[in-house]
Amino acid sequence: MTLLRHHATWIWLLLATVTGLSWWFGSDHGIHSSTPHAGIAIGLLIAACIKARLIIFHFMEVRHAPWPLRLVCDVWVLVVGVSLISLYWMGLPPA
Amino acid sequence: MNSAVDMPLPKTMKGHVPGETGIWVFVLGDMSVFALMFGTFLYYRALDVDLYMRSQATLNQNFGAINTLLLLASSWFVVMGVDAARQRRTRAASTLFASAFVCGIGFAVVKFFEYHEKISAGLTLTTNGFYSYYYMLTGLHFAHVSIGLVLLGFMWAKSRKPLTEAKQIMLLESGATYWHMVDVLWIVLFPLIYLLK
Repeated sequence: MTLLRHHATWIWLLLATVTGLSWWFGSDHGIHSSTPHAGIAIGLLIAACIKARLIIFHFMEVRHAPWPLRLVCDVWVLVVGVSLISLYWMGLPPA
Repeated sequence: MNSAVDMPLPKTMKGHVPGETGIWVFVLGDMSVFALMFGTFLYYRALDVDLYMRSQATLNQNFGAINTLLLLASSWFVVMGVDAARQRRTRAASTLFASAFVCGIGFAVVKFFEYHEKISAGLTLTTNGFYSYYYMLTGLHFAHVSIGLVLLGFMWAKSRKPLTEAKQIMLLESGATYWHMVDVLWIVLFPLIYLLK
């Protein structure tokens, strides 16, 4: 029972739920067209960055690390998130 | 004698870095290289969105989702395993690391079926730009998974005896840090390659 009460278990549940939702929205269940769908795509990228941060801070224990490491990790998540969304945006057809 | 060594660290620098410092240099470097590759993939996708979307439609998203769940479960087992080892719950620690290893093997089995399905359908590294990136990114990630499986095996073997020295726990933490990085990279790869519309 201690395993279930561990805070990592709640984080894992959250990660698994977001994965399930991402799969639902991103696969053919959520979208029935093969045209770009910016809202969902950007949502999926943001969800991925939030999941990555949850793993880095809670599973890799960076939340207990000195601030320089916490900062470097946050910068990585932010740079990846902003770059990927911008590069995705580049590929959208002109409005 | 009051030397610099005895002086407390400034409050803001306090904290625990799990594992060896060297593993963090490697992990952060590796994560940066992957970040560049993620960006390169999306850059080339933007140049030919049609081709990338048509090719992506041939992927089996269920394989990607199952593998995400397997890696997440594996990471959770590792977190609990390190925790058990710190509390010297030897039996629990070794069972948890063995479970993490089994999930990792599950990832490899799913990947094998996925590659087999694609190659049988004639979709290979040279099919088009999308497939070159698909094989390169997932293949490079798979190489990391393979190294991680060796580390998990080592962690399982180490955890079978009570770990009394801080250095032994640090070794487990280093392995755990690497394995979680493998998880983080897949978490970004999954939507990028399988889901982005």
